[in-house]
Amino acid sequence: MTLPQLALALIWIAATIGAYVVGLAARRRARNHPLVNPVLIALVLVAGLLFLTGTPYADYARATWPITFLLAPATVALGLPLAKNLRHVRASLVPVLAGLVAGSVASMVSGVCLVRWLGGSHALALAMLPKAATTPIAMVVAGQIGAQPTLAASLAMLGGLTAAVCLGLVFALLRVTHGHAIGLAAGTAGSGVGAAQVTPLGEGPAAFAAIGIALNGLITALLAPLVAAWLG
Amino acid sequence: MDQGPAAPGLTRPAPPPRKSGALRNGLLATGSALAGLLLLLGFVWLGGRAHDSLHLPLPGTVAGFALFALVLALTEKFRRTWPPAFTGHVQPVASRLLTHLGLLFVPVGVGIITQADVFRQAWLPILVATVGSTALGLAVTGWLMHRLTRPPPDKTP
Repeated sequence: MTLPQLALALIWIAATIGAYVVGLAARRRARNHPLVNPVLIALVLVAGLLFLTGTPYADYARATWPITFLLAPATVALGLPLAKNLRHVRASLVPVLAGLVAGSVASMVSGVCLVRWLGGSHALALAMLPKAATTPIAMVVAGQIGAQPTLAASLAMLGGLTAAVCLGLVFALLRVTHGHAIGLAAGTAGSGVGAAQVTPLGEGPAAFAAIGIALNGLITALLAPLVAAWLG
Repeated sequence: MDQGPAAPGLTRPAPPPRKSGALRNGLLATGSALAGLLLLLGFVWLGGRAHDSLHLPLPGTVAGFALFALVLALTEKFRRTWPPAFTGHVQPVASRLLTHLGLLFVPVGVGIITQADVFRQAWLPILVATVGSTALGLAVTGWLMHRLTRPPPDKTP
């Protein structure tokens, strides 16, 4: 790597962090509105910069590898909230596991079926499979079942936003009022974005959202290959 | 603190922190964060090894995450006999990584611009399947958990 290349890499890293900080500030201003998502804002800003400077995506991805590299230890770090809240899982083992597995399977199978029914390709159905898992896990699972990791990551983020936007309506319709159930469902179906949406509800929902993210990551990684095999 | 009450006149106000203290603390914090990150990377490596050698169906990082949760749960259980160094170094790094997990997948997420064709061609299945399956997942998990849990707790712990 030559010196100008190094400088350019540092600039792209700084620009990425800057765009994310702008996104965080915007979310604060919008008082946590689910559609004002810091990651979404950062994506739009960085994509705009790439377009304006005529930089190919591959160059940008190569420059920002140190950020992407941290995804692996961050995935491992998910063990922390799981271990911290393990007593909650033990206290209501059956409801938590039943809710998680049923929700995870329902989400995977319905996603695949809807894509196929509406004429989507096999590749798209595969990328749709790990969508409910948190983005870094969705990406590695996609890699394992032969789906496009980038597409899977985009769909995972889209799924998280969807969950954050519609969870209030869904729970009102079904009269789900139990804070733990709301937290678990938000984390299971909406991963990080969904969890952020229920954090203001209190410590209990936040803990169950963390459990939902962690355990759904695990369940998706275990079950997605099976569903993919069934899909053929 | 079993030395009993200090004799009057012996308690002195703590000396003002020396200037080098801030630098020292900063270096210690950086060292601790690096140690924590290295420990997490150790679990990434272990997970990868476990995936390769045991033919686990889990991707390496996910296996590493499960291992890490297991070790943390064990440290919690045997807190008296396990060295606190492990959790002391690893916890701050882990929670910081998770707080800003969103930032970490910005570079990957920008890759969506390379998928523009897919979204243009298949926007209808993508939209319907994403919204439909996410809403169904929310409904199934929330409803089942709500139903299977006994009447709402008086106070969420």
